Amino acid sequence: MTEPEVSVVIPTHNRCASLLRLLKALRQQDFPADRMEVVVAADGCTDDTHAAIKAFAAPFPISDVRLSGLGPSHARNAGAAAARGRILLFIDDDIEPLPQLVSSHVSRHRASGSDRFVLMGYYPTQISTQTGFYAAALATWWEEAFEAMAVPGHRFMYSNVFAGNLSLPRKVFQDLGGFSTEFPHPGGEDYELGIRLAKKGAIFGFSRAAIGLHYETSDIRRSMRRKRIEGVSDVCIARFHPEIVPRLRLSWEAFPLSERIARWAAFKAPWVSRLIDWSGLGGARIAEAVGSRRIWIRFCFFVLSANYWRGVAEATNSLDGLREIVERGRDASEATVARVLELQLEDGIASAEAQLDEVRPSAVVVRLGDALVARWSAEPGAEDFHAGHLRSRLATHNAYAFAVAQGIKALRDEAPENTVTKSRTKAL
Amino acid sequence: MATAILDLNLRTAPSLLKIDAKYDKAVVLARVDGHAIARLLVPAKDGAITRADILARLDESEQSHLNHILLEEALAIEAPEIVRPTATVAVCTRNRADDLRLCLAGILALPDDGQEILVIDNCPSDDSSRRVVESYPGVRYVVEPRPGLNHARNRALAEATGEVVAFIDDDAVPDHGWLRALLKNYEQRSVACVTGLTMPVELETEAQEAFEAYTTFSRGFRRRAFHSLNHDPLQAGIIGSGVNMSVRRSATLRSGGFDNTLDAGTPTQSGGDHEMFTRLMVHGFKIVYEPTALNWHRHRRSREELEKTVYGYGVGVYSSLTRALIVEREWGAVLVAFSWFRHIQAGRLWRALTRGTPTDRLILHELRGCLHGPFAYWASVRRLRHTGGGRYD
Repeated sequence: MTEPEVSVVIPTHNRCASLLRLLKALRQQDFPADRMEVVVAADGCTDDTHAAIKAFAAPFPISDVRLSGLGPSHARNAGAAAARGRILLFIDDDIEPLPQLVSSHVSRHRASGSDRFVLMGYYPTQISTQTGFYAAALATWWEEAFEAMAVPGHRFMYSNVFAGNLSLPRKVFQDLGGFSTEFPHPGGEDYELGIRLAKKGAIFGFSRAAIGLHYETSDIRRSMRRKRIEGVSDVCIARFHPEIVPRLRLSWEAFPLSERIARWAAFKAPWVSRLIDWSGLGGARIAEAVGSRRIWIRFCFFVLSANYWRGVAEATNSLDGLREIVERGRDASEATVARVLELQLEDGIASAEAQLDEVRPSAVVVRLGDALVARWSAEPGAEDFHAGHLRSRLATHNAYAFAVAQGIKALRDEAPENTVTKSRTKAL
Repeated sequence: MATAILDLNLRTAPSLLKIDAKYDKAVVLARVDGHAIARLLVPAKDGAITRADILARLDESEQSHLNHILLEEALAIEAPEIVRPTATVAVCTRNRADDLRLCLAGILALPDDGQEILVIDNCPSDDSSRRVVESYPGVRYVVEPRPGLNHARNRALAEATGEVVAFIDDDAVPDHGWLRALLKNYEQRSVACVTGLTMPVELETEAQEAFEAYTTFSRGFRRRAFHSLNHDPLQAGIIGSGVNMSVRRSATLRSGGFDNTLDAGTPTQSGGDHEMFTRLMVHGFKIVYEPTALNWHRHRRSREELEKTVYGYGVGVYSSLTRALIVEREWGAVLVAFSWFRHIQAGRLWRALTRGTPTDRLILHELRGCLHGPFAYWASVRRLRHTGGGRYD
């Protein structure tokens, strides 16, 4: 049997009902079932998951990889190892894909003309009928994350990589060694993979058509826990990739006072940190009861900040440990040499685009004649530039607008000479 | 004196435009090809308006918008492919057959992307509207016997087959790109509603000019997104108006349909659209104001109709606020009322008492309406209860 074009890899842990919803939606895909396969990596499932997979009647092959509760990274890696498709499509078990999800991923890969194309799909949080502030805030956070990626010419960052709806060539995934399994808690592995993908010269994309509905069942406490894990993960990422450190929150100095308090409390007075949790949550509840969204957000930010720093403190053990990491990061990022490409627009845009695709620079200087039009600097953790970036970024860069506007034979010039007799109102 | 309305493509506009002698100024909708970028008030000199004069009146942000469009063209940037939902265009009408005819002609001139066209005739007193619809094959006609604009809108939601229902008033006419501009914003799932820009189709009478000056439908040329985290849901007026709005059917039905106690045809007279905006935002959805979704509205011609309309707005706003207070227990409604008075109404009231031009005095009608608002809401609720209807069906 020929290898399938795409393998859908689903890590799952005791979410049988959710998984079934996902599998049913995969049955409704408009992508031909004989060209796809599904690999479920069931990680420590003690519910009916295995029985349900066995009983599930599907037009595509489904395999069931058992793991003993090692975490989503292991699960995704194991699922990928068992997959035979050319493209790996990771989908989380709390997502319900719409019928065009798989075909949208595949067609973008085909259209990319690249062997290292990574596509982020769209998976907005399903807004239930609850009117709570938290639900709205969570949905908004996700929507804004996707909106940033949808901007034409967006330069993808490692922080744009979300493993919940993601596809990339299996070969690229294998060459990179898959997701990191060194993180003490699940969380942050997708960002870490993003860093390695960017270093390898991957080309990133985002597709709204590759849409799945995300049934997030979360609350403020889960967010707090996730924030703490994010703190730990950021320290891990800083250790693996020191040059990224300047981008990580743990290295930023110009804080508001609340953030400085949160950081101090996490390292020096953990009981204060817990007090922030308790009082912050109380304050948020009151703010929601009186309907003040602004105050509610302030309290939530404070609480989440305290949790982030508790995670950082947990992973570094002391402020000195943190300082060491930040300094090492600064040295590493200073030592990084940017690959700069100088473009001359007078040679034409097509030529500039060809150069970008060939060189894939990390920094670009664009000139029109002698005028400097744009300077795009190197960013750790960001993808290298390619042709797709040029036009859209130029369109949003004022300097170019100025340069071109001077050249544009536009509306400032004299119009067609005729005069027109019009006593017109909008024709009705 | 009357104001001419000119819809100009800056690229092809001639250098001198003669206008009829009865106009002393013109409202110019400046476009670059199809894309509307600015609305300018240009006085006429010797019965003519020059192109240079128009261009000179573009302010900085409009200039840069213009440059941006020209720049995108020079760079040959391809428009990204948009995933568009299925749509139903719905017109709620009552006893306005002539206006309806023009509206339908405009709707049928829209590019055909497979949209459904639906006319909801609300409590008609004769069959003139039905005969108009019959002359346009392909347009569905439904009668909604319960009087009330929101009843008609809810009926439209129930009868429509599209994912998105785009509403347009029967005395308005859509621009060529209206529907597509609305629909392109629905790619984001959190968007439940998209409103557009409404220009006056004529400003012939003083009443029309006064309406435009006092309570224009235009919300500017910048696209804006509203959600509960960046905007107080109770301040719904700034988002747009029912004359040019579209909703995602699934989101609207999940939040409850339009509130039958509000808007035209009920004692509250208006406010049914804004209350829906508020409710959608409270439920966590996003609303987008899309200025390129343009339609043209004929304002009421006579002074009496104008005063009645302004009075009706006052009633509607305060009825909505009363509803928010009672039904949603939103104490912020009181703050909104105070804030509105302090920032807008007080100044207008002062001018009415000191300067006293007819336009200035419109605020008095509005305030009268405001005072009547809570009672109107109460009357409307009683009436609804009496007929045995539900609030949202």
